[in-house]
Amino acid sequence: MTSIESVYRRLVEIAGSEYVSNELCDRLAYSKDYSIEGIAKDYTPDIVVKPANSDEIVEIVKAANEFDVPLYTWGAGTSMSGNPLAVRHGLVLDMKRMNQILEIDSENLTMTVQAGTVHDEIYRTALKHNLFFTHHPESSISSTIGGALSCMGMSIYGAKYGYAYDQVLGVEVVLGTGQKMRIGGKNYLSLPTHNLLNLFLGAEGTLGIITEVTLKVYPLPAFRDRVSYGFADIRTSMEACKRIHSSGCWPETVYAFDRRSLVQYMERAKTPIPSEVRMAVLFGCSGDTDMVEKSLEVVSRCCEEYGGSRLPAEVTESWWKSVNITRENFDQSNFALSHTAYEPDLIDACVPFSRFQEYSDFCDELKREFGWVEIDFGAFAVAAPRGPIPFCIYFSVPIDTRIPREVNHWFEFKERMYRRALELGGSVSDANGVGLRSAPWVREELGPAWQLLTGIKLLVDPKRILNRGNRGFD
Amino acid sequence: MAVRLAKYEDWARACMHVRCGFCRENCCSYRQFKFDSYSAKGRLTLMYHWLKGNLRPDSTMAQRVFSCTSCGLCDIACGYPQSEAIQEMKTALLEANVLPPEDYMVISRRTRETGNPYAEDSSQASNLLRAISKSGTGPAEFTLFFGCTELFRSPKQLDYVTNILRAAKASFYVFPQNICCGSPARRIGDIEQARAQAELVSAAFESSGPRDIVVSCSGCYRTFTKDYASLTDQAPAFSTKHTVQLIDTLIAENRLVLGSLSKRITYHDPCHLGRHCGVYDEPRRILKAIPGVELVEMEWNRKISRCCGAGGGMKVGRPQDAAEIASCRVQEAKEAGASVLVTACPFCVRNLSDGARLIGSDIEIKTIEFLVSELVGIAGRPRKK
Ligand SMILES: Cc1cc2nc3c(=O)[nH]c(=O)nc-3n(C[C@H](O)[C@H](O)[C@H](O)COP(=O)(O)OP(=O)(O)OC[C@H]3O[C@@H](n4cnc5c(N)ncnc54)[C@H](O)[C@@H]3O)c2cc1C
Ligand code: SF4
Ligand code: SF4
Repeated sequence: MTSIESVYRRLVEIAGSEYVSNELCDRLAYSKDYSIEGIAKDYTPDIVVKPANSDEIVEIVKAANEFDVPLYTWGAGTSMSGNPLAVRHGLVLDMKRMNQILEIDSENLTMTVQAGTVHDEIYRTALKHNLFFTHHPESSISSTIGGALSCMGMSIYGAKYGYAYDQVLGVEVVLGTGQKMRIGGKNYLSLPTHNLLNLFLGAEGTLGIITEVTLKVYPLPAFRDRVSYGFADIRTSMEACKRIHSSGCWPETVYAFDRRSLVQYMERAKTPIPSEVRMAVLFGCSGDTDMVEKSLEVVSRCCEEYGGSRLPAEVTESWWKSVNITRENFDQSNFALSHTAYEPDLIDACVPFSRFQEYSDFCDELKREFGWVEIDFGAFAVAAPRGPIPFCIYFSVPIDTRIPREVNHWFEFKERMYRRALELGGSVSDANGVGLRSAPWVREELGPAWQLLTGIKLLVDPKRILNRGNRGFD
Repeated sequence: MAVRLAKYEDWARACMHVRCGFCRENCCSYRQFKFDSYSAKGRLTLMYHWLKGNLRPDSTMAQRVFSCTSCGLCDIACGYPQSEAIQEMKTALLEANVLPPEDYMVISRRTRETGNPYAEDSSQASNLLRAISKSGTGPAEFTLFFGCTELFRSPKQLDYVTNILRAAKASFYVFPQNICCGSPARRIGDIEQARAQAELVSAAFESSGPRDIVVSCSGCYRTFTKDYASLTDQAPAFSTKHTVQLIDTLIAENRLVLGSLSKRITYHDPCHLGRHCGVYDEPRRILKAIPGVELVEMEWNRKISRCCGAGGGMKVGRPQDAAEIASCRVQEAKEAGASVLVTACPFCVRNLSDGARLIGSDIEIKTIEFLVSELVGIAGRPRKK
């Protein structure tokens, strides 16, 4: 009997035959995420297992160790970096059955949920208790909190509240050894010593499997409104955002898209964008009406000081609906329609703020060199964490993956973009996961710290069972 | 296969690119069968690999594809009407002789052999229809067409509908034959038989002359209004209304006066009537017109209404699963605080009732025609309850 057959039998004993499959039909659905890395090779797992609770996960991890079969934790598979992919095949651990809201503590502003819970469910449950859960990616109606905590996790409300992992007070985690532990708790300061939480947040499943999370929630703001402004280029839009910061105004949403990205986001709504707009920023504020109105007035004044022109209300609304995808408006999502011919992947690298424009110009130049012009995917700059200045920029690069040469071009393009970022004093960034996409440059950037990281990896996952071959871990 | 599915290659590729999964959490078959392969995302993945030649269709694949109830909720999430692509996969599988579990095929076989998916005696049903006396004195305003589920599984629906119309003094004619509209065959991909039924119905309508058809089954309604044009390669020569549209008009014209009812009621949108055809307001207006009724909405309503689980052959093919899915919907109705769950499709009523039984729920489940018929007084006088 092969190790896969043996582990399959064991998994059936652990999770029940209904929740384990080795059928190709089921496995294929877990073979690709939202990345070109995922289409470039075959990452079909051998087995998919969907555990009910953390005790089952402990047993599954032990079985994976015993039979030396790698295990890949899978939330919703919406990642944009190839990080949930079964690089060495083996098992996919589908977390979505663990979707229970365990506790809502309105008085202490916390919520405890299982890691496979979908964001929209958390958001809605909080609302029912007059609370606001702030992590709201565009994939909110499908992606899981465990996935978000394992990537960096951008939220449409991130300008005020930060990344996904800024929302965490405590986790329960199963290490690669099968040992289960809790780190942090329900207090807003639950870390008596080194912040061990950070080992597992943003770790993309390589150090442990998050099974339960205690999250921060906030009193529900009564009102929410937004404006958007068009600018001639990135530089002026950034200056306006700095000015907003100095004004003391603190929006919850700051998303800056270049024209091409905005066109892509308007695909379903078909809202026209004024022709002179090259860069646009969406600002949103929440709170009492007078506070929101005043804030947006200040935002508008600051934008206008830097030559910004207010975009028509219908652009603002279409834009908002296309990023704020909820149960009420998921018929506005543009994703499938705008992804038919091309698959966009990301360059997720952070450069110093002062060099955004230069990096973006380099990207455009390179796109021209590769023949990728006149395609509606472009640059995004997102304010995170905590403040109106978009510190994070990334570039969406559309590839016609039907053409194998184009896929190869993507890998060449990516190499040049990441190299350039490092030359500009930048860094590989983790705005949308590192995974297979950005891993090749991580080791180089970390230098001796890479040894420290692999040492930690060996301590918590000595047989390198967890997400083997991903994120630069061999 | 290549020809039938080629048209959907773009849709499948878009899905492979973005993998958003927006179609997943709401999909009743995913919720029931647990793996992603049972959502539109999974089925489009299968189509993609099938078209690429990486995957040979087999019974395992058929199981994944046929357990789609054609509810169309994924279409709302996706932007591409992926339920249509999945429907075509069913046909492509049948054409490739890859069959779904036997219980699904019963629908097709029975329709072929007996003219209706229940393998019941059509002539008896026709007798039942002929026994309904024509109403009114003048020329008929419209023709009532009753479908197989009403005739063979809930014949009282005929009384409910005709009682209402008699109370409104509407003059109508009842189409005197049982001919299956073709919906059940169509939903399990048997396009050939669906076509045959569509031609039979169209020819029968043509020869007996009705132009304005009224149906109370949402499956018939969808099939007449949305499928007949492609099944018969021409726009139907008749128009179709659902009874909820007719009753709504009768109320607006003051031809129906409804007695009062002090109950909290919720409305389940049948997928075929709501999402597929956009009929959301009429049934709600009817319920609001009943004095004393408090209409409460389930969390998932109107365009995002969750499927009861009966469609796409599931009720016959996997009855236990269909009932389990329905029990979730019943639970939702309870959570909304309703004591009555009303819908506008005899097929949904049957499945929701099975779902309620499964969880021991005492919620009342009925068609809107049943509810209204209890509240209409003959000649417009409210009937005392
Ligand atoms: C349409 C669309 C829009 C998007 N918009 C945004 C956006 O606005 N903001 C944003 O941040 N991202 C966005 N993304 C990317 C993606 O949705 C997020 O990265 C998301 O957080 C991934 O969650 P997931 O549940 O899909 O995780 P997966 O993709 O399944 O996994 C991601 C990583 O987390 C690991 N993982 C998953 N669950 C666990 C767990 N319980 N324990 C340990 N490791 C785990 C996996 O192994 C993998 O490494 C978008 C993606 C799509 C398709
Ligand atoms: S919503 Fe559409 S594109 Fe997204 S996963 Fe579902 S079928 Fe695929
Ligand atoms: S039509 Fe309904 S059952 Fe079928 S895949 Fe779409 S959402 Fe699921």
